[in-house]
Amino acid sequence: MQLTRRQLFKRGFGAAALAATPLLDMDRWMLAHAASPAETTKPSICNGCSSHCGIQVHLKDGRLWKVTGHPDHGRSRGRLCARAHGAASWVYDPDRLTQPLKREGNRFVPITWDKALDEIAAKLQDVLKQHGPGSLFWSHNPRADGVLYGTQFMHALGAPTIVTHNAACNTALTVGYNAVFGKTPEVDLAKCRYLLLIGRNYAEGIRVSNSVELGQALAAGAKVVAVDPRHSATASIASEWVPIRPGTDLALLLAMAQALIAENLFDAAFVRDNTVGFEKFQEAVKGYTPDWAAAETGIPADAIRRIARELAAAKPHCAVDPSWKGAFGANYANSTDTARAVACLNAMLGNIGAEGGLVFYSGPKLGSLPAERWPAPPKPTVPRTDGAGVAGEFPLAPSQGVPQQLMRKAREGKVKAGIVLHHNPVRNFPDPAFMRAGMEALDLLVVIETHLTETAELAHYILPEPSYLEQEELVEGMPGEKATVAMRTVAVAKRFPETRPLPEIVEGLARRMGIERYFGMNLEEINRARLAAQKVTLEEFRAKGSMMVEPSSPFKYGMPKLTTASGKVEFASERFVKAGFSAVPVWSAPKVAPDRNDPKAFRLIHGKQGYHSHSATANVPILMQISKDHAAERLWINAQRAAALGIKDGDMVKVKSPLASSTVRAKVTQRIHPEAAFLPAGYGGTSAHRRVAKGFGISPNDLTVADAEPISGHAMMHEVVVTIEKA
Amino acid sequence: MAQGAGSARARLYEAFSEVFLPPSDEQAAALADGRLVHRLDELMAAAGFARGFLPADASLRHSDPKRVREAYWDAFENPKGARVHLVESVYRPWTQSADCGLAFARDRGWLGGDSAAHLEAVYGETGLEPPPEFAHAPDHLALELELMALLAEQGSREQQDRFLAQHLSWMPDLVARAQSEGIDSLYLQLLRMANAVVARDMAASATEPAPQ
Repeated sequence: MQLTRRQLFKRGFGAAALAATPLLDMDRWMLAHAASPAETTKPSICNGCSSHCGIQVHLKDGRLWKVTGHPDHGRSRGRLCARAHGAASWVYDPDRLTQPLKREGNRFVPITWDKALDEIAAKLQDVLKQHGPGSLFWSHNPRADGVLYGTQFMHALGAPTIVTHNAACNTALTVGYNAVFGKTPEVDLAKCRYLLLIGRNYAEGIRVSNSVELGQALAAGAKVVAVDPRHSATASIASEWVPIRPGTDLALLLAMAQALIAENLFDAAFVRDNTVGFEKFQEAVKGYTPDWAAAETGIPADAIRRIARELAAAKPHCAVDPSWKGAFGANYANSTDTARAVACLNAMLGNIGAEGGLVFYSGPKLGSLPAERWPAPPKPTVPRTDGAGVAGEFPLAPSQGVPQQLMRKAREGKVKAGIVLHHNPVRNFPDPAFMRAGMEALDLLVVIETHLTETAELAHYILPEPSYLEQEELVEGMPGEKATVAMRTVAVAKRFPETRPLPEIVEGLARRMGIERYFGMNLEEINRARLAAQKVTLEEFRAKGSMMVEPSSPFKYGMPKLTTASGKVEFASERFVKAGFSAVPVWSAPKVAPDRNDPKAFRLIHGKQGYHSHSATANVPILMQISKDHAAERLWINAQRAAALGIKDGDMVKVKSPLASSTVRAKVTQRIHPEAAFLPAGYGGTSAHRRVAKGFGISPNDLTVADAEPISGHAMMHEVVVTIEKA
Repeated sequence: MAQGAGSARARLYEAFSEVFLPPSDEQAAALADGRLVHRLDELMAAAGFARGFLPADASLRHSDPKRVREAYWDAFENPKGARVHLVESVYRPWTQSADCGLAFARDRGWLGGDSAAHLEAVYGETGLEPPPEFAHAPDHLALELELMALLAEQGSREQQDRFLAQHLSWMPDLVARAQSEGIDSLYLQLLRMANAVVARDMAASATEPAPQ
């Protein structure tokens, strides 16, 4: 029997050379390899979370050899966190997606790029023709190329609905700060003399440079007060931990505002000169005395007054931290007003633009794209299908969108097709069954990914991307006292030839859908245009990768020009009134609350650990090993409450919500408020194909109902009451 | 191993190299109707294995070539399948170099390890150029078996022994993984057969004196 053999090697003189080369001996090669020249480096941007820290990729003989922080990048400044080291392993992960896939029944089968793009384009056109541009969505965790290409593609099709991860992260504070300041501030951290943290966990959340600056502030003698139901890693280095009943931060903030007014400790001159609507706010907070707040928050009234006085004594070199997800980024029914109250309290301290107070940084100047090559498509005329910015739905929700509402509409048949770029909404939003049902209701789900996530498993087509170290991406700018310009470069050679970068994928679809006129520049041309404003060539910048530059609007202390309607700090918001909400922040309780008479009832809260980013890193073995070594999946429960329930440290406990029940080990500790139970976010992987993540710990999302807060449309991730008992 | 059997062994390694590539239509048909297994049996006999080494097992056959292709896909490539990776690096510590600063430097389970880097260097030195679809895995089993076929034909006994020890001694781990993942019996048996060939050659090198 003769079979046709496939010639694996283009042989040339190779076969004879193989037998002749001494290099064939691996021991000999190892010796030569060990003695080979020092590493080379290539710059890039980390993908371990969404902070985009600058990294230096060290290579030896073209192999990834280590990663270090880029010294000329505002967020890393030469340092990296554990996530960056873990994420590097994705380059060599054999479980990456390697070729386009199409669902056939319950199976994925390989498909060529041309066929996949042909079929996707045809189906998209069919959906658009039959159901209109409102039936299509784009979903991503924003990164520069996704924003540019995704928006251009969607708008060229007349489709307005672009949703992001932010509704599960920081949407409430975006809306709150936009209402009061017109944009989101930062703390001038290193120079802050008194810092009040409302659930913010700098020691574990996101940016290394922030942790360093917090350390600098502490070393310089700053007082840092951590208000948090949990004694977090940040609380452990703070000057004081103030445990608070979860979901009542708004009461604390309103009472502090009341105390500052009652004791005439606020900066009246600043308020007079730079704000509008203070009288309404003053009137509204009259009744929110520290004694009232003590009952709501569990914090003694004297402590509330003391902290208010201490803040006032430090003004304007003090701040109530604007936070990120923390306690109120997307957690409670009252989170948007909590953000507004944080903003108002800061304004009362007169710290806006002050050294050590709240500051607003600009990004770097980047060149714009010529309209003849990259024309802006007409703005879509149909309303967003997720209801963001739509009267009668979520009129104040920002462009970050309302993904939960989108999935509800999908189940109602009003959304038919979606493109999900490199994030995992099915796992990272509450109630995965709800999110899954929404995705499954679509006629077309396209997922552009590197790995088979819980969301990708539901796709009709999976289009594989190279890993972040294998592709050049868009030049991006980040704000700062010194702004940062940075880009990903091709740090290591692409390992899977059948993976394609996002711009190529979008351009391929655009060509097939007749909208290629909106994509007249390739990525390299766009990057050259962007860098022209910095007077650096693309070739030079590929070697640098990152540089800190003067922001487009140079930073200086002093009252900044705000982008609110009045140009001033707005204690009262006309937009809120028009949308049917209170002009000023007022107290409202969380949507659900544990019955204090039920010994088993707790509010379930969650947060980040310093070595994970949601579920994105839960399949990285070296990061999960940290989790396993420290039993980091445990549910934190207060020692007295646990004792009353007969629960000992390390016991398995059953955690039950109205939605589901899960079993997990308990961490019995004094370091948590008696009414709260804490779970780390990101564990509880359910995909059988994410072997490391699967089966370790549980996810708070499994226990939390899918819902959307009416003002900003965020996911209300902490609005869940559970009962806990020994399993 | 018998002197003069190099050519037969080369054909045998070539045949196994072919078997661990995604099956072409022709190969799938030949696996489905048993012709390819019969051919392997002949080659093994020619290479000195006792006739009938192969289990006369119906599980080695699928009546449908499509099913053969699915079996390969599900065992080795489907992201929702067993994902038994036919790549040496995955079964070895990523590097033995002490100066590597990666957090996973000493761990198993990754592509692009020392074995891959070594073979890339060999390809660069010799002009042997693997197909682009092997960019992720210069140390793919099919490539290593093909290299072994070249050495069986043109290399010295010492070179063959060294290559087996340095680059094919991971096969028992591969077979164990395939077994624990419960891959399709056709490909599990083919892996066992390839492993038996490698194991016999390695045992022979241990017992026979190396040629002067």
